[in-house]
Amino acid sequence: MSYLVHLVTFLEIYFLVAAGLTLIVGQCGSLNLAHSAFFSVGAYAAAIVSIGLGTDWLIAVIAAMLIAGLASCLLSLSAWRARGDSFVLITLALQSMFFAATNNWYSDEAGVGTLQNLTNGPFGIAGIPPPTLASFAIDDGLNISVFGAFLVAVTWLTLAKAQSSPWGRMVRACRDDEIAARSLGKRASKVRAVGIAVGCSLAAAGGALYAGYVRYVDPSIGALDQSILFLSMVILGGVQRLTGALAGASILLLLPELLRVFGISGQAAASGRNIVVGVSLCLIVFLRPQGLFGEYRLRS
Amino acid sequence: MIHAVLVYGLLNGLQIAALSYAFTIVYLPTGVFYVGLAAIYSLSPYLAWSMAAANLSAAWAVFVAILAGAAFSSGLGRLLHEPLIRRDAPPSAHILASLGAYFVITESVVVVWQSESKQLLQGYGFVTELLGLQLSIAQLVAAVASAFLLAAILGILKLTRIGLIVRAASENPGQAELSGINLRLLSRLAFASSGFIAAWVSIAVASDRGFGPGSGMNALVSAVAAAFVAGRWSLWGPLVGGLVIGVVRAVAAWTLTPPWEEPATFAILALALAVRPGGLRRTTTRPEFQE
Repeated sequence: MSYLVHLVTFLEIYFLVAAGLTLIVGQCGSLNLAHSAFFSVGAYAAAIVSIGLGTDWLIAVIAAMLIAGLASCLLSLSAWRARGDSFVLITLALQSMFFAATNNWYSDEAGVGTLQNLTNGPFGIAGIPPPTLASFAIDDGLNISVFGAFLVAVTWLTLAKAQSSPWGRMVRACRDDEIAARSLGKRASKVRAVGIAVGCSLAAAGGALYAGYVRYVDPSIGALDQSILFLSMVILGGVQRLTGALAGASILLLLPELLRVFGISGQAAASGRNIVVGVSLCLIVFLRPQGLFGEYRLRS
Repeated sequence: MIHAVLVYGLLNGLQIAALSYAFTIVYLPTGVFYVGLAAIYSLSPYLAWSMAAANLSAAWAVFVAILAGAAFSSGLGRLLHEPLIRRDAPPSAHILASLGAYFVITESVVVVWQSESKQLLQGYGFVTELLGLQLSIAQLVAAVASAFLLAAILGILKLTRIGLIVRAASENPGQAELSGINLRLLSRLAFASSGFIAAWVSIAVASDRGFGPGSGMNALVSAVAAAFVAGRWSLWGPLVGGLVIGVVRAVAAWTLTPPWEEPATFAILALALAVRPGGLRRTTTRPEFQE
């Protein structure tokens, strides 16, 4: 039972991240390889805020989302001028810079979370306090899973509503024909910036949930491999639909469990999963470019 | 001290520049953002190391590994990118397919050889003094190999007919095809050459600094940054960009710590793309190709 709860909690975390990426890749049409950076920004921000300020966890989650939203301006400003390959390269650069920052922002002469030692470098931040909501402790795995389900439900309803709203149509119009959208008086860059900020904030929410659940964060959560994994979830499921994000997250979460049935575990299971992800990416590009549950194919 | 930093930076810059040419040789005529090159870069030293461990002489091990790199790259081009080019797939499809291939190859490397770093060609670590600088033999061998490779690439691109065809196809693929240039054959040659260059550079670097499964992506990203910083459409762009990035990385490692090399590279790249998206050595683009 507890293992099932563990899997469900990770599915919720992955769904939040994949839903954010669906918004950026599927709705805004920007291929983003820096998503794990925003996931790690959220995880670190929640950890530092809850340790340093001792605040309620919900406030830490909101702070993490705000910080990631602000950090996403780096991506939006790039999208202002760069398109296609140049934008992908900028996201790769951002990914690398965020990773280096979390890996190197360390000093053994200062406490964790201070300006000299913000992330504790490669050692990561341990001892994140158990999450509390209005002084009600939700340190039990089941409670966190229930809270995660609440976050997922709110995210799903909000994004589904937003996608079918005039704003959602405007985002897709800016993606499909920016010049036409601009000729109708729409500010495409601003629309895209909002979409990217919301997507990055959702990744941060996933990161904050991860930090609260695992109670330890380290730089590896923001590595490029993680970004490729998140992107694979979205590409596998389908880039435009939330059902695609959920399906992609479920497939990649359950894959190592499936490998375990065949007696493959540990490092071999991780490598096995990545090999399956790689093969799936190649196959999906050839056989079903819109993803398993999608209807839109990437064009840029 | 600063002159030593500059020299080390320039020596590393030669390797970045050579890899940058490996990327642009495919990118310019085909439009493929060839991430799979990182996998070739990661794989080649492992092949050389395995063959050397199996008592093949070092020279043969290196030679066969470089040819294998070219063959793998050619295979990736034939299996993945050529069909996508025929379908007129968008650039993102190439990136995704290439990322998939990268994942498969590097994880297979981890499964076969484990993930810890290895050292190629043991016994070349002793140090010599040159122009007042302390350089290891491995460092010198890597630098000479990269400089020789760069001279060969530039010589071929600048002086030969095949170089002229590559440059023509890079500048205007449609016009080149109308002029009778076989773009499919050119694309195959580009993928094989790209793999050859990546394997060469990778083995040169591995003999100096060691290698691991993840080394390919870091090297490729620096090489791509070099191409974009100095101007990817310019013949000399990757060379200039590689040397600039090499020096910037060395200065960052000297003034801060070595792990800050990567962020320094990308800060330069972000700045270049923001200020001069066409690169430092920007060439005038025909109106129909302007973004």
